[in-house]
Amino acid sequence: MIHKRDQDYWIFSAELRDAKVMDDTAGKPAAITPLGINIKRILCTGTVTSKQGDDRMTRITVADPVGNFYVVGFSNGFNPEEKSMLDGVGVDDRILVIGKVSSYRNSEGNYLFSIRPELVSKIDEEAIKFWGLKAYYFAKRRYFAIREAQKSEDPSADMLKESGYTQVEAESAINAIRNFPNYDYQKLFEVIEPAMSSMGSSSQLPEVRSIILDYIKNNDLDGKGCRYEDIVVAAKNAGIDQSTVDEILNSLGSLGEIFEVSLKRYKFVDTS
Amino acid sequence: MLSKIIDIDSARQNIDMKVKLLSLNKRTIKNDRGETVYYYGIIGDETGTVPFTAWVFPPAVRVGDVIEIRSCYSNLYNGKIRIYIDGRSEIILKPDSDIEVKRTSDLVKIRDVSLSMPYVSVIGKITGVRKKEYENDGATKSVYQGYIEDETARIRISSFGKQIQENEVVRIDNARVTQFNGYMGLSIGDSSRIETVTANIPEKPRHVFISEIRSPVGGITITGFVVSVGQGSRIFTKCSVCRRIVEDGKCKDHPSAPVYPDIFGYFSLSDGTGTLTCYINSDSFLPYAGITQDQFRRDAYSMNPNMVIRKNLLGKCISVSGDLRIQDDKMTLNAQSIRAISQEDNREIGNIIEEEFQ
Ligand SMILES: [Zn+2]
Repeated sequence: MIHKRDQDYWIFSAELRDAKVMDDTAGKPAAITPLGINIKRILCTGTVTSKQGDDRMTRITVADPVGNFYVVGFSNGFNPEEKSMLDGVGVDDRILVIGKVSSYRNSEGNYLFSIRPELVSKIDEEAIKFWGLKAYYFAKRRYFAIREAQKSEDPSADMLKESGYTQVEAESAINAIRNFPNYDYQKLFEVIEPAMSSMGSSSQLPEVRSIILDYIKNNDLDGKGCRYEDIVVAAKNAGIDQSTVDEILNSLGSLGEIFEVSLKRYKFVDTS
Repeated sequence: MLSKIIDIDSARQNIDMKVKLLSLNKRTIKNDRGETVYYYGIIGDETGTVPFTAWVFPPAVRVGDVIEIRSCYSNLYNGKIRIYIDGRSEIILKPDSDIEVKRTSDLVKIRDVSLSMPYVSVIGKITGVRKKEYENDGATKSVYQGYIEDETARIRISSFGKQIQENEVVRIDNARVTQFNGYMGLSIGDSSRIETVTANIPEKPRHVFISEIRSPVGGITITGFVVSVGQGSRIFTKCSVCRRIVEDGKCKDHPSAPVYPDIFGYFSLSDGTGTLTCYINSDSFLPYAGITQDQFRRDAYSMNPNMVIRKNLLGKCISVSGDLRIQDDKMTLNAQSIRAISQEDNREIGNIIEEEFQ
């Protein structure tokens, strides 16, 4: 039989990045995302933008439309296939990853999240697009549930379910209000929304895309990546506005054609 | 004074009414504070029917009983009137009375047909009609079986006496909602009405999100990723006449009929809003896997079905079309066709999302 196990959640990298680690009701540490998901298992898709490793472990980054997932497999882990699944994929591959979310603290005390893979599979562009649509749908419904709950002085999951939200959405909203009272949801959706609209429209802008891609390719003079401000100025001179630039940078990132080397510095991915 | 259902059209307190219990369901909700039990169902009188929610309900009262409810209240829920029975209300059984309930049925989309409504009205196209005859009190009677489908789903119908025509678009009023063998159905009887109407029923995949599934309707499509594959797949031999599974290579009832192999398998499909177990057979699986019938007949008994299914489906993004079914209280999907996700699927799903967020 198929084993009953934790539901896989489809969430964007930007939401996972902002998650917190808290003790759950059983006293075990659990990751809670700003939209209230108590995330144990994730299902994500994207383009492999980097791959590193040795005999002991393989580590890849997978870019979704708004950032990166970090996927790590160890050869001596609980699941012996963990590492070989990652060894089987290469940079630029479009993949699906299902796995357990694990967290660790960096030297500054911030939590970072990575995924221990249980299933890795190569997929096509339509599958990536489908995942993006559903992840967006799921995020937005939970956001609306949070806003609905914020209207009430004493919100409850049952109340939200009466208004048509699912059990998961209702419980997440309560979870989010409890754990992220001051979170800026507007900002999160300011990242997600343009990425979603560029998924639909980027194919209509091939010329504009190639102008920006060429600029990044040819103007990485010090090897540290092209500065965002310089791209915006160059684009402006070519008659391209800043929001289109953002859209295209997101889309180029999600397709793995560029990557962000450091904050607001972009580098062309040389695949030749 | 007793109120009639037809007169309760807004939120009101302290209502007394005499009604017949038409359906009763119990539900347990678990939350931080523990378990809460509540009841819901339909009550009716000479003027109509109305759904109710009760936080307490006497165990002696059964469906079909006439009761007097004192001090209940009404409220709007999802835009419709609902009666609420709480700790201050009183329910008195009236064993000697009967009420001729006026059946009013709401016009619903086929996907929304569920046992919470004893009678419904639907508009859709009739398909797959078969006529069967049966004996009743020495007379031969006809039952027409088939499906009715709209743009949201397809559902089985049985019409006793009233004829239904293939491909005709009809409105059916007062159809009784049934659930048989785990499938949702509609029964058309003496009190139902069928009329031909003009309505356009578009022929395209009827996409559903798993979290929105309420009842086991048919003819729907779910797109998702195959997140696990069952390890209990098998190859069966079936009789070409009765299509039942045969032992020892030949059918007991049709020993001379040719036999053929069939595959049974299942997998979990996740669409981000939930996970659903899907069952496949050779009709749904082989075309997707690109295995021809001839190849399958030749290789069926030497293949490892678990491996073949796993290799073709695990981790793949697919659209599965078929009929939902409730088995052991769990919703499952019997796949009739499987295909890789297409641009059209994404366009449809994009439209569903856009419409909801407008
Ligand atoms: Zn037979």
